[in-house]
Amino acid sequence: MGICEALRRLVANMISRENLEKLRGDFLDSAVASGSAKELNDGILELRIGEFTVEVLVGYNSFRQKLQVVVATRFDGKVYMADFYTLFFYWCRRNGGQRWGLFVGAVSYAPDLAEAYADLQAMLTWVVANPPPSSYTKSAFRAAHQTQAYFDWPVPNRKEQIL
Amino acid sequence: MGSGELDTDLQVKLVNAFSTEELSWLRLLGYQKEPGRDGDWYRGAINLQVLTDTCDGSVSAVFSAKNPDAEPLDETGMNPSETAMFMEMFDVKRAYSTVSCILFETGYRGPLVFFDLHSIETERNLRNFLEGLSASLRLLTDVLEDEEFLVSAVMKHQHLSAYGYMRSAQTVGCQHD
Repeated sequence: MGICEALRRLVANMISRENLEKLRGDFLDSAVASGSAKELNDGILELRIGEFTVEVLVGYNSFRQKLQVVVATRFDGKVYMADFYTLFFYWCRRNGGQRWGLFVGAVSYAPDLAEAYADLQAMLTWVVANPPPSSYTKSAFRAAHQTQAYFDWPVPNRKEQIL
Repeated sequence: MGSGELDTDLQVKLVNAFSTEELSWLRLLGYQKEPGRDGDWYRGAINLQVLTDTCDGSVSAVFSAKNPDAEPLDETGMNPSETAMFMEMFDVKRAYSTVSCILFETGYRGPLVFFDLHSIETERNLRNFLEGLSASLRLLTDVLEDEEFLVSAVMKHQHLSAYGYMRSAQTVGCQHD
């Protein structure tokens, strides 16, 4: 592969405003079409996870080069907000044995971002279909609230290192 | 991440990305972007602004509250140019307060997670500051919905300068405490 071809591929794989919007739009459409979520105003998703109604906001955080997934719910008269991966990463792994949650590290290129969205879609669908016990969800929200509105574990960010 | 001299364009880009994307979770609390103002979020009478000053390299994070009872500024003692600048920086209908003051008002006395708004000279300085600011705002999650509390806190801690205040390197403080 020549230098020109390599550069062309590099540019084609860069995360641009256009593919950011497309990937996010496709994700929202897919989440709604799956029946696991409904879209509220302005791209906020609403899910039902067990007895909790949860709002989810997804977007690419270029400051951290990560897919940022923030979830919020209310119980005991208080709003709790946390990072989705922090909240359900272990639940998905422990109970589903799935190879999800690969994108806690940096996402620098469009193909990785597309895969991160697909990964997230699978996790969301699975959590809705297999909700943790309420006690787990409450406990996780309490623990994650305020400590990590974003997921910021250090690497590993590769599949082999995580699983 | 880089740690060299901070280029002005990069500083503006990072601060805008931070405010727009990192703080997007404010939307889950009902905040909206102020139209035409990249760094601003508002909800009701409350406005939160993350701004970068390309002249002196500082970055500020301030709350403001619309104050319907505010009187027009007394211009005595200020020359016209100073007044114009003052009016531009501090809308007379608002009072301003820093994030650390609001944290202090909540009763928080923990570690100061961001400090020294004037020490931002490198990209690493800026990233550290914004990391700290993000953590500070997460500590405020519970009060960001409480407009009455926020308005009261802003009015109580209003400062004519947007600069934060440190009692020590470890503890959040406020000049009104």
